[in-house]
Amino acid sequence: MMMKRLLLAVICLVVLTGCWDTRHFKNVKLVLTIGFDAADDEKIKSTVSIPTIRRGADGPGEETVSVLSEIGYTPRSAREKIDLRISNAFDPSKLEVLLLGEELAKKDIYPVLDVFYRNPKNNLNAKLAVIEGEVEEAIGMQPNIDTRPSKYISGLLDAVKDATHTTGDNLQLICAELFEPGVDFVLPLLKVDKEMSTLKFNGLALFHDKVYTGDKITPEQTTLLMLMMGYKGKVARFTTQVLEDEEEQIMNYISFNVMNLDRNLNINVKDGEVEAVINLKLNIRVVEYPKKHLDKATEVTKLDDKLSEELTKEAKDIISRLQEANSDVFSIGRRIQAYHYKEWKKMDWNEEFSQITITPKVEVNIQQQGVIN
Amino acid sequence: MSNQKNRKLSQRQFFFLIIQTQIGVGILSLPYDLHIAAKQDGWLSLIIGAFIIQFVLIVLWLLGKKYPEWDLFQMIEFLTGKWLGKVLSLSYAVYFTFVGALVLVLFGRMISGWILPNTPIWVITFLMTSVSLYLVCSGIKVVARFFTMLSALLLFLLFLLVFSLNELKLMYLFPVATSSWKELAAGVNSGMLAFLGFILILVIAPKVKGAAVDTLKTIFIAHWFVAIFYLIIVLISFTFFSTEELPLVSSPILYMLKSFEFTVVSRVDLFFLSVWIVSVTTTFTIYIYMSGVGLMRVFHSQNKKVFLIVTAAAAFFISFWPIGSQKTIDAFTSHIMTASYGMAIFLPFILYGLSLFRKKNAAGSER
Repeated sequence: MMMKRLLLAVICLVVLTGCWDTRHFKNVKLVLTIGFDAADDEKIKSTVSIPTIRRGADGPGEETVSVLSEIGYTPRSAREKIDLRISNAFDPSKLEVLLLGEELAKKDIYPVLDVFYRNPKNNLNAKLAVIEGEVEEAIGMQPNIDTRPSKYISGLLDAVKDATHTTGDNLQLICAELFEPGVDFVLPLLKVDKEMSTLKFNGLALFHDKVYTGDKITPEQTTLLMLMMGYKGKVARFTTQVLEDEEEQIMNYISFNVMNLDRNLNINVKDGEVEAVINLKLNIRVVEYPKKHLDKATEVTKLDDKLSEELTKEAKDIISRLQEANSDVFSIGRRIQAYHYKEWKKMDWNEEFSQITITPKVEVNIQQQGVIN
Repeated sequence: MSNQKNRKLSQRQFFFLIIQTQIGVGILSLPYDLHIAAKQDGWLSLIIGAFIIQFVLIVLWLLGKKYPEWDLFQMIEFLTGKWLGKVLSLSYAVYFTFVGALVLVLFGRMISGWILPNTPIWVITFLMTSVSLYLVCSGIKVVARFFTMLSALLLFLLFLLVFSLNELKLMYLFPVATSSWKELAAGVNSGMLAFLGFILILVIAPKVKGAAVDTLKTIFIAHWFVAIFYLIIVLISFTFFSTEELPLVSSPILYMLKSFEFTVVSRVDLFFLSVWIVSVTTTFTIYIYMSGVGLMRVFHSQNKKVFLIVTAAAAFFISFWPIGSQKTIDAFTSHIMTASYGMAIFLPFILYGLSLFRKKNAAGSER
């Protein structure tokens, strides 16, 4: 009994005297957005935005955001330099957005990200984006719409994900795609619009291996690419031209939402020749069609066929872009490795991907047309 | 042990003792170890390993059935003679202490790396040691009851993994069976080591009530429960991480959970770790217990607590030795793993062989 009590006392002593690892909020500066640019001499410029809350005597505190930049050999060394400029310790454990400058992304991006994977405190849930131009401009911009840049950028990235423009990959999810041969990925491209003081979603940056190829998919085509990859956000909306002869331009177009989709990817390998077929079935709801004659079944079928044709054409265009950029975002390569291992060993996928035939087949079905015909 | 009769464990408690001993410090690194050895075929190795262990378990059970009243150490002394027996029993006790120390080392290292980088490791391991010592001093019956209660947490661990189901890509398991036999065998090696702890059966069997057949059934169910638990964890890790990525991630499950975020809990991995700590405690507790029992038998003493304290302290201090760097930890691990083959598989087989030549003896005739 005595011993138990003694043991208990010792345990209490150890536990209650405190913790070595407390991290008080007052002692750290939370960094919510961090960005990297390529600097001269292969150095890296790191830009961060740090919100500070100033306590007033009464009422809610006022929040100010400061933006700091430093140049170093590695992201961590740039961070040490930033640390020397701020009053508290720099803490990226609540990181929301990580931005990569276009120039930097055209080199291997893993060395930049390594520090985030290595430290367990970091938030791997942070979203990634590539900035057309300089990251410093993007973070330094004062958006009129939201108070702080990080909230604005992460909100923007969420919104484009919901609208089926991006896969919404975070740091962790792209890690597999970085390393695996035969699996490539896309990241959202953002552009600074100085006049309007906003950022603009400007398509998807196509990556090959760990490098930004410099080629991109335009914002008009991103939704279709996402659907071809099998992703659908909360809404997937298209506006497509289906007629040419109407006098008024507005009459030529139709807008629709994708309700659900069925995608399958078939890969055939014969004598080293790879043939991939992407079948995409879309069930759609028409949301805008000024010409409004959808009362006859034949009309609807005709429109189905027309839309299928248009989207298939566009899909072909997207695929030729992907092959040009050598960016295997459908992970066809990994599939061949998985299911046709013998053939895979014979090929050099880096060379092969741009040579293979990929045939898209988009089939559109109008299922709903709103409350009018 | 005078009141041993009314202090027997039920089959259910026996079941939970086995699984809690086996599932422990290894679950975090098991997928990684398998992958390093046999790439994406690691899960095949795990299944092969489970079948081999199943065979070993039958032998252990046959041995236990022959001497239902005795634990491992009493059998050793009976089968190999007094002096050799003492040496072997003592080496078992030392082996258990070292495994305990290894558990402490891996535990301390993990907690230090993931949650408490500034806390001295000895504080972490000391807390673990004292909790386990407190638990084990209350007797095996209490330990068994406590383990039964804690097993609900294993379901919680599985529940946390449900969130990953969306991100799994079966593709990463293919191509199947492209690893060489040598790689598969290395995988079997890593896989079998995850099941160590089954030697507990021989130490604890005389305290379990019920017929030998029931015991066998319990052992099998426990074994396959653990095997399937491992398999789920391995398959989830293998399909979440790509084939090229997994070699970079030494505790894949934690890493995976780290990338999920919920409204209330933003770091699920810390949740998982907290539950995992319990699994480690149970493993460590049992090793202290086995070592303590071993020493007690060697010195023919009844004073169990003294030996338990001695072994716990020994494990605690031994753990200081390799904990410094990854290199020493790896060396320490591999030595203990090699020893494990001898202690947990080879020696029981020898003992069983000897028992065939010994005239079937009425239990307890020596005393």
